[in-house]
Amino acid sequence: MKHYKVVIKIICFILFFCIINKTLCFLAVDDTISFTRIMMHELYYPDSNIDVLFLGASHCYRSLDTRITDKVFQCNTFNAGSSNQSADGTYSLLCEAVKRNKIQKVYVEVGYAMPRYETGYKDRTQMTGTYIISDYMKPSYNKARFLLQASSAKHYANSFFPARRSWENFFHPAEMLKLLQKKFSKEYREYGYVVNGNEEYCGKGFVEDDTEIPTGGFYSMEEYQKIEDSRWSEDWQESIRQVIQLCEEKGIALTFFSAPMPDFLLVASGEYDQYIEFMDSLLEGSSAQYYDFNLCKPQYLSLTENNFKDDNHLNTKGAKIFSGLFSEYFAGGLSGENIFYGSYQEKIAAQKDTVYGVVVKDNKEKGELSLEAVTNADSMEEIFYIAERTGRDGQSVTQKSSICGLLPYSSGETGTVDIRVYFKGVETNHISVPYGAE
Amino acid sequence: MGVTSFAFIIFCIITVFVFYMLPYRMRWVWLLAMNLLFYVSAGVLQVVFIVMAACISWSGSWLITRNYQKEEIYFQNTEGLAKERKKEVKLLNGRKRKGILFCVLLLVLGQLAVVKYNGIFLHNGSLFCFFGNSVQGIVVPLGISFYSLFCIGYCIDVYRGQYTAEKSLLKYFTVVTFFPCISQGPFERYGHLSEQIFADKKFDGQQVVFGAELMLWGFFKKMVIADNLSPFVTEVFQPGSGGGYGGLFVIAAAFCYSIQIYADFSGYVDIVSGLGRMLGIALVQNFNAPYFSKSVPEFWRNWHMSLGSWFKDYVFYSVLRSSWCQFLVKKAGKVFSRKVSMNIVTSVALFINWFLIGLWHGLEWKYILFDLYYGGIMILDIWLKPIYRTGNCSAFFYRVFQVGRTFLVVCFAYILLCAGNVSEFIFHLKEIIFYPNPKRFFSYELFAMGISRSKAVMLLFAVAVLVLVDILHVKGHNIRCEVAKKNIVLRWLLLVGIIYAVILFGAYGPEYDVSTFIYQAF
Repeated sequence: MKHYKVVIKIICFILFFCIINKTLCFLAVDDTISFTRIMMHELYYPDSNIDVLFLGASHCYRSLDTRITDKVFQCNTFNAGSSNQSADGTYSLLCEAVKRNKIQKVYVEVGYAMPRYETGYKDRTQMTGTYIISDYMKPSYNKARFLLQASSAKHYANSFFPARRSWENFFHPAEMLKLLQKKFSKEYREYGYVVNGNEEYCGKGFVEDDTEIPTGGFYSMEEYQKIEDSRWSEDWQESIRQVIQLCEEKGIALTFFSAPMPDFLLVASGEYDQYIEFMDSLLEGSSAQYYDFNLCKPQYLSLTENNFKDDNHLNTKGAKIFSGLFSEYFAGGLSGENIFYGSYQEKIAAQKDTVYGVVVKDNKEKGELSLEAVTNADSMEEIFYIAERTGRDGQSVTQKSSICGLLPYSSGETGTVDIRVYFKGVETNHISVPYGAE
Repeated sequence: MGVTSFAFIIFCIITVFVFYMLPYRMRWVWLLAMNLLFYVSAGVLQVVFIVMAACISWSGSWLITRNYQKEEIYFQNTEGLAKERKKEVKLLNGRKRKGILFCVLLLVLGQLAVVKYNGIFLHNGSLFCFFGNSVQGIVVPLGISFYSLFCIGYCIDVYRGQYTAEKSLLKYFTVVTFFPCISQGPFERYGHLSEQIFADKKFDGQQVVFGAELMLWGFFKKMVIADNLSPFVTEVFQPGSGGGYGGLFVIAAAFCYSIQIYADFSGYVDIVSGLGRMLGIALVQNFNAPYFSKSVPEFWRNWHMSLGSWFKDYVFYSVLRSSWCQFLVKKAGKVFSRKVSMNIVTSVALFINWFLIGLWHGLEWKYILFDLYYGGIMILDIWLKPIYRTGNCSAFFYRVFQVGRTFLVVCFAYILLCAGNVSEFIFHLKEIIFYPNPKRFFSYELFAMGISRSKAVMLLFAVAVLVLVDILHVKGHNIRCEVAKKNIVLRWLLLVGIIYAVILFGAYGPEYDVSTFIYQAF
């Protein structure tokens, strides 16, 4: 009897402890504009059985519009993509989804950035991608395993006690009151769809964004890490194998794919074909297939700057185009047609010579802007820039730069620079970037 | 394995759980295994030093005990021996024992000196250059200052005949390496610890709960208070940079440091005492609300009590009882009154005592001056006692004044302890006098120095709780027992409140460098 009482006491204490954890989390964590919170709720409580599930990082939830995929696949599709979702997050979400649904097909988006991001899960420094999933997962062994494996022990407190990440809110009572007002609102309680700036949650995981890159407007203020210098994470590969194994066990058809990205990004990132080779070798011998939509022939998928929200992700327009092609292709509408090039190199070679965008590096110490055009042309000789600096004092200086693209400015100067890129005498790109000291 | 790490908590749970699962006679073996595991986690090579210290002190004390036994047998077998012959034998054996003790002291302290101070010896000149490169770059082994003194204390106790030497080296090793006390104390005595380690103890749920609560309170002090104050103190007293923020910053940092070091060290002691209690072992008390002391001697009776008591028993009294001190008393007695001559000898013993404590803290002038500062105040206290300890000392406001005065004296010494060296200490003093810099101090810059506004508010709450608990202790309350009598909702609310305070506000995790305990450096 005495032991029985002790056990009851321990259970009650744990329950009390968990209730306090939930309460603190409710009081401190601001997730009133979280898309993932709504997506996770819909994943746990779908209107009907989820037949087709999409998983992956932001390329997934920004690329596949479930309103279109539902129509073409003629079944209930669900997009469980989330920001920075790595393969361990994908596996955990898949576990949650298969527990509650009879899933027939799973499509996992595998952009080249995720496997090379991490050397190992235990070395992770950024945990946002993990927490935006785990915070909304129901308590289970799967959740505990996911969090324990996602990082080293020093992150555990942040992982299991979300209020710790926002503890400062406890000392801002006014802010906390505002937050509570939002949380007690009908919209929040009933998981109303969230609009945040240009972004809007459209249901079943898809988030659309109306932002558009203007024609010829791709640029980056830093050099992209080269794919050929990447090391592919062993942990990520292991999680992919777990996904494959789970799908095989449950009899689910599994497909990996890469959503389209701008050629500007891929050309600037070096040897993209190396990533395709890596994925092919990873999936060799498994039942899963890999499709890279960056290799699509232009007659099937032709995307311009206007179809992207930034140098990485599709916008609303782009997602519509891609979702159509994706669904049609996998639903069998394009059977017998070879919509892909053999390699990315082949695709680029097939394109007319052009300038995709500009990498601008601002050396503030030296007072120098260096411009590097990202192009598929063999020679850079026919490229030149016209740059017009507008300093903070409003003084405008026009400069015709040489091909090496160095634009000096006086040290301490700050302002914006308007850069026009000419290729074979025709203006191809036009960007405006800030420069100089903060 | 840091005492505030996740690994340590798991380690403790396993240790306690298996400890009570095992039969009585096997428990000390389990403790020995866990002690070794704990020690090995700090570095396999470090075990060599503790094994050496233990072996030397065990062999030495065993030889001393054998000598005592032989002497006793000799006297039993030679009854009726002439008194003079007996005295001669006793003297001879006494010398032998003294010789053995001297060798043990030399070897154990020698090892401590070589390992702990090697960098300084090598750096400062050629006197100790014969150690060559072999000892250069040795990481100071975990707790060497603590277990070396433990071993020495044990040998002296055996030498003084307080108890016979332990026959089993393994049992002795279990006590020496007892992991809760190994890195920062408290300074235990062999007899006190071994009695409890080898006693047959039944599982006592209430004690385990009390132990866990004490550990939790320790985590609160260390992780919520000490580690959150650390960035500000470190910023102001940045080693080598000489600070430069201004006198008010130095004063604020010294006050913060006084809280930090107390929360840090007493937090550690609470953690290990809590663990000890869970294992049915009561460790000696190390703190007794020291900042409520009315004088510096009282402060040192309440601060790191086990260190003070160790030096009092093995250094201070040894010096007082030494033949040359007795000689000094006699000589002084001829010139001065007995009280004055006693005061002279006590002052000399105090000076030596505090000088050695300074050396123990570290072979740096700042440590020696820090401890001599206290030694000096205590010597003054002896001489001036008759003058200032007259009149009514029990008035409340006078007691408050005394407590405040003692606290200020202690805080002043902390500036020396925090400064990189003596010249930086002088620089900080100059800052206080000539460059207080109130404009900068009262600007918002204070909040950009590791303590944000939210953290400052949180720390105020936490320190208020700490002060309240100390006040209750001073008033004689046993908080844990009193809380245990309250109803379950209140008890759980308190418990969960402290657990969440540690989880939410504790300085640990990816944003923080794990702060080592301040006393671990000594």
